[in-house]
Amino acid sequence: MNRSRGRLDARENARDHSDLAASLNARIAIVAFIIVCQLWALTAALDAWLGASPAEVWLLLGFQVLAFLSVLLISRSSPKE
Amino acid sequence: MRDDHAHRRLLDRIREDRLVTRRDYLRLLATVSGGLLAGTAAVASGIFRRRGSGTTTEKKVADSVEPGDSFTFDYPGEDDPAIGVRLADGSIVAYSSVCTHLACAVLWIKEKNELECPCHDGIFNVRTGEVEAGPPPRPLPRIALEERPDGIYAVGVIE
Ligand code: FES
Repeated sequence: MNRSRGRLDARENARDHSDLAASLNARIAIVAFIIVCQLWALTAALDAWLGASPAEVWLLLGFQVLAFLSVLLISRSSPKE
Repeated sequence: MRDDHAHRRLLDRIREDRLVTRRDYLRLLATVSGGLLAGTAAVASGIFRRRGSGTTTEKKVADSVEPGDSFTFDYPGEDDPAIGVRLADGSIVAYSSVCTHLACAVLWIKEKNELECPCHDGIFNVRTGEVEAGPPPRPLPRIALEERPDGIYAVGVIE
């Protein structure tokens, strides 16, 4: 009886663990995508700056702020065990 | 029974370690994201000096120049090489002579009536500074000139 209870617990544990892992993996994938966009935004901002379009630079800076806040939100809200 | 318990705890620890690595990875990505934000803020704050920009005071750059000839000078700063050309119709134009591709010196080719960068064959229109051929991504910053009785003066940068 005790033994089968233990196995059940272990199985639940494993399922919890794989849910958690999947959730973290998904977060990493989303954040990595945002970072690729941020990388593009940085190069675009530099290009806009050198091309003397300050309005575009400020727009891209706004995007960077939003992107960073989303990354913070996603990483902070990752499920705890 | 005790063995079973110990084994399970060991497995849990290994799994936890893996999760910690994922969390650490997420934290690392958040730091990278902050770094990219800081980089863009640095660009916006003007940490990178744009060639041919800066305080623009008036400066005498040449005494006189014949049609079809060019002259070089530094403007607006001492480290900002520029090139001026008097066109065949008598008008006079000037640009930063730093190529917008990889910063080679732009030359006036009288026979072809164009400004050319010899490094990668970038060609700029001499009337507008726009790119006509080659890899330069942006036009040359234009310098406003004024002809006065005592010579030619640079009076500002037209971005
Ligand atoms: S540096 Fe001028 S074309 Fe490349």
